Amino acid sequence: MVNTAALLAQGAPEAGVLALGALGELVLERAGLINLGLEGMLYLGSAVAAYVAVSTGSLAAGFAAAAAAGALMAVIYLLLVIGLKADQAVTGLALVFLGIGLGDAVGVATQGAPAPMLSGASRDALLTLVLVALPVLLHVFLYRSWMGYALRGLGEDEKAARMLGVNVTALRVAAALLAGMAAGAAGALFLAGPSGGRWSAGRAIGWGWLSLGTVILGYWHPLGIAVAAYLLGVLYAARPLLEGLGIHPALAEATPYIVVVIALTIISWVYERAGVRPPAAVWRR
Amino acid sequence: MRIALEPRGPGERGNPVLYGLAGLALGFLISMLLGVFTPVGVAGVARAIFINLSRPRFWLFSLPYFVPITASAAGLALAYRAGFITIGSEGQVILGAVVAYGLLFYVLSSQPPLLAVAAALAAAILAGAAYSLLVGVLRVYLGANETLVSLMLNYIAIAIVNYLVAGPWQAGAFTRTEPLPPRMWISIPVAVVITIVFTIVLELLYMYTRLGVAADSVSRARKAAETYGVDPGRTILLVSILAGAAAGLGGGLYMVSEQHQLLSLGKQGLGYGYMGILVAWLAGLRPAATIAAGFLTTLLYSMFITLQLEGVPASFVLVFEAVIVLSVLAFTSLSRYRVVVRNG
Repeated sequence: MVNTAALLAQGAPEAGVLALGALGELVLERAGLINLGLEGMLYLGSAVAAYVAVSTGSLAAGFAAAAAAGALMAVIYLLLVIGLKADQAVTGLALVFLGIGLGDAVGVATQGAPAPMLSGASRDALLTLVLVALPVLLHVFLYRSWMGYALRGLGEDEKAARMLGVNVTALRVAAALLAGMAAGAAGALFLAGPSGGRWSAGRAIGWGWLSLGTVILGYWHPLGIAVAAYLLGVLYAARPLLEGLGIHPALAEATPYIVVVIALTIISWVYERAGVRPPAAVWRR
Repeated sequence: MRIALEPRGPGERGNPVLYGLAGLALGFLISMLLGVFTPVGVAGVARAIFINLSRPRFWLFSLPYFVPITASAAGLALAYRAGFITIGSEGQVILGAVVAYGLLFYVLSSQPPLLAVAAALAAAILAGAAYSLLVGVLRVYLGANETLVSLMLNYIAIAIVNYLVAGPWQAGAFTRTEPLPPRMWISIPVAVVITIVFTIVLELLYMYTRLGVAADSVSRARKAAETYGVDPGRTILLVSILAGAAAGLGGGLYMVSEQHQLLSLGKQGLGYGYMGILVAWLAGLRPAATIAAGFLTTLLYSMFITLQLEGVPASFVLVFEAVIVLSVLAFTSLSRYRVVVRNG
């Protein structure tokens, strides 16, 4: 018989990775920008975290370094997108290649070497922080504080926000740096959780894209993102069960994606009727 | 003192090609300097890049990738103009390749090659178009976000291939299929010509039919679109079909001209559809311009393979590509703005 409780717990580390990257990206998209480079930032974050954690023996140092690496990528993004008014989509996609390339260059040194892992109480505390505390705090910030209103206003109508005295550039720079740090830290969380403390080339591929998708599935809302990330995490953990039912492993691999399409379709249908909309500056409809 | 960028008037804009070339030069220069971190050093990277750019053979190496990347990009350019932000070309390229292979190997193997290949390519176009239309329908009628849906469909397409090559279509001990018989192959130059013709057809559709106005207006000037009698939903369905058809064709052509068999794709997929996104934006969302942007990008892409032969680690080649793209992007943006220094 399937142990439901065990399954629900198993999905949490994956959910944490997706939620952390997605919450950062949410802040950026609410500020009216979109960073497609999340994939590269998360990948670089996992490699830098591995390198620093293995060489210093401290996982906390790994997390800090990964966040710094993400912030550094965000600086490149900002220089191009805000500094030179370059296209966001191309900048983001180029950052994907940059992050994966740099990640492989950094990570090769620690290939397979065990980094300190998250375990027991610290793991539970960190996942609770990412999946419960952070979304709630972000919700309060976005919907109950002046700064949050300003940020969301920026994502709806830049001109109107500017008229109301919002410092557009400062707010966007802060949002992008925050998103970069979150993406890098999500990479570190991937290393310490789902990856089992070992870095290997290509293992973190795809998690950034999925994290970007989590923002959409969570419908650009912090609590929605926490739920969406958790759903994806549990689906990911449930794949071996499908294989146990006699489904071909390659097809079992596709099941989470099919479920996401169906879930998104239902959610969008409900939300559009309830008037919940994505930030207008990013997703014009 | 404050430094600001101000948009230049249409007549004052710099020549984007010159600015692009300057960006390209700077990108290569930074890449060579980054070579200091590689085992071969700055000189080694400079030498490897020079060798790769100076040999005609290297330019030819990039042509097989040109086909799926440029085909995807040309279709995506129209889709993005209409505000249909799909990233599903990857899955459509893969599905086009699967359908072309399946038809040629299992159904049409005894037919005359020319007829069989033409039918397989038509089927690849239809498969890509249908797969993309699914995303369009979900977006238009149910409001589902096309970016996430198309990303999910990419992973599903990858899973289909991984299932086929490890299941019903597997040949031998490895996860791959039997290659297509050589009489079903077409040469790479022919595939390139077909791609360019298709791209030009899309450009003509954009320039000379209602589709161009419709695509531009539904995303950027909704009121004008309504005044003009443009139906946003129908426009999005149409561009989704065209984008999918283009990517499907790219996948079918790639199968009959270069790959000839299905291989396990792992987690990543082929990557050509994602490169297509980059090319579409680099081309300023003009189908015709994707030919030039596609050629540049595929040159960089094939550098990935050839630079490794010269001893540059694969990871650094990827970094070089990103640096070159970012540098070109920065310079082409500068061609549209002037740097103004204000006092006070």
